[in-house]
Parts: sequence; C-alpha cells; structure tokens
Amino acid sequence: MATPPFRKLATLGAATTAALLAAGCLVAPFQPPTGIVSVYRAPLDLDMAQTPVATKEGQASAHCVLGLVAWGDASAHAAAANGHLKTIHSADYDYLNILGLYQKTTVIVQGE
Amino acid sequence: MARPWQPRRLTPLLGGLLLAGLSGCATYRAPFQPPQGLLVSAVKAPLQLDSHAGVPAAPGGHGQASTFYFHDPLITGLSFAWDDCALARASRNGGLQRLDYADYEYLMVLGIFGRMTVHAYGPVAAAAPR
Repeated sequence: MATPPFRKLATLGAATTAALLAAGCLVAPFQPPTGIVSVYRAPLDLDMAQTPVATKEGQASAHCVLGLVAWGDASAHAAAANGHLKTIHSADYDYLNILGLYQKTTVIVQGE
Repeated sequence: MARPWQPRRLTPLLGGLLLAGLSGCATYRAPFQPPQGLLVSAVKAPLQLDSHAGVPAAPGGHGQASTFYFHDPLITGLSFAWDDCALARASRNGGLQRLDYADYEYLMVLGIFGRMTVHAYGPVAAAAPR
C-alpha cells in the first residue's frame, strides 16, 4: 500500500528538523539550559586559583546559519589579539541562538 | 493479519549498522564546540585554557599540527582518518619551549573532507649554540 503523502512529508520534516538540531548544537564545559531562543553568557575557563580580576577584555566570534554552514575564528588567541591583551586571566563565552536559524558563539577573554 | 516475522527484514538494519561502523565518526569532541554546519564548518575555538595564574596572550611562538579525514560516500562508503595533531607534535613544529595555551581549528566540507588542526602557543625555545 502506498504511503500517504502527508506521512512522507511529516517524516521528511521530522528528519530535517532532527538533522538541523543535531548539527547546530553548542558544547561547552559549563552550559546553562538552552532554548530555541537563547542569549546568555557563561564561564568557559573553570580553572580558578587566586585569579586576578581583569580590567580589559577581548572577543572573537563564530557563526552558524540554518545549521548548515558554520564559520569564524572564536579562538582564545584571536580574542586576546582583538583585545590587545598581554596576559589572559579568565575566559567566558556568549551564546546567541535565534530559532536555530542563526547562532553566534563569542569567546571573551579577560586580562591585562 | 500480521505478516510472519522474517529474518530477511533485519538485513537492511544489519547492513546499515555495519556501514555505520565501517564509516567511522565524522563528528568530533572538544571541551568547547561552537555550533557546526551540516554542509560546511570552518571554525576555530579554544582547546585548552587554564589561565588561573595568567597566561601570556602573545607568547611569541606558534606551532600547529593536523589530522585529516576523508569519507568516500559513492564507491566504498568507507572513511579514513590519519596523521598527528598532538600537542607534542604542534609544539615541536613551532619549536616551542613551553606550552601556554592551545586552540583548535575544525574544517569539514559536506562530511567528505575534514581537517582538525591544533594550534599551540608558547615561547620559542632559544636556538642551541653551534
């Protein structure tokens, strides 16, 4: 018996959604609950021992569109260079997710 | 009426599992991963950053080492991964005296070609006197 068209469409839709969700996921050592719309900042560097509170910071970002194409330099090196830092004391990250259509991950390093 | 169970039905499932096993795993693991793209990913992110005492942001030296991934989806369905992106190799390539921190760079195109590069940063070892 032939499969009804709507079932094929539903299956295709579910598979596409699952693939998109699986492709575009942030992984971090410390992650607050993440929603389909998310804007938050959280710690990235969790190794603190008498860490000085820094006065300067630098940022670098990576982007992802539709869970299909991802690009950008969000490395600690790029963030430190952007902030003209000589020493890195700690690091956080910013995460922005708009319905999985656009995601931006920003690494923020603090230092002197 | 329910059709009788036939072992033949398991063939596609077993075939798929076998193929999945042989094709390796194109995804990667890292402590911090920005979202990846299904078609193309070209991102750079921190690999290791233990900066409690403060690490030099521009230590002067940089070394890198890469591994490569190739998946043949048309003929064999097999995947291959090779080379060395260890920190030891990266720091040796850059002639580093000490490792201060490391980033990584992930490139994957259509799940067919991939490259993972580890970037190591630290002061460069002084050249040995001749």
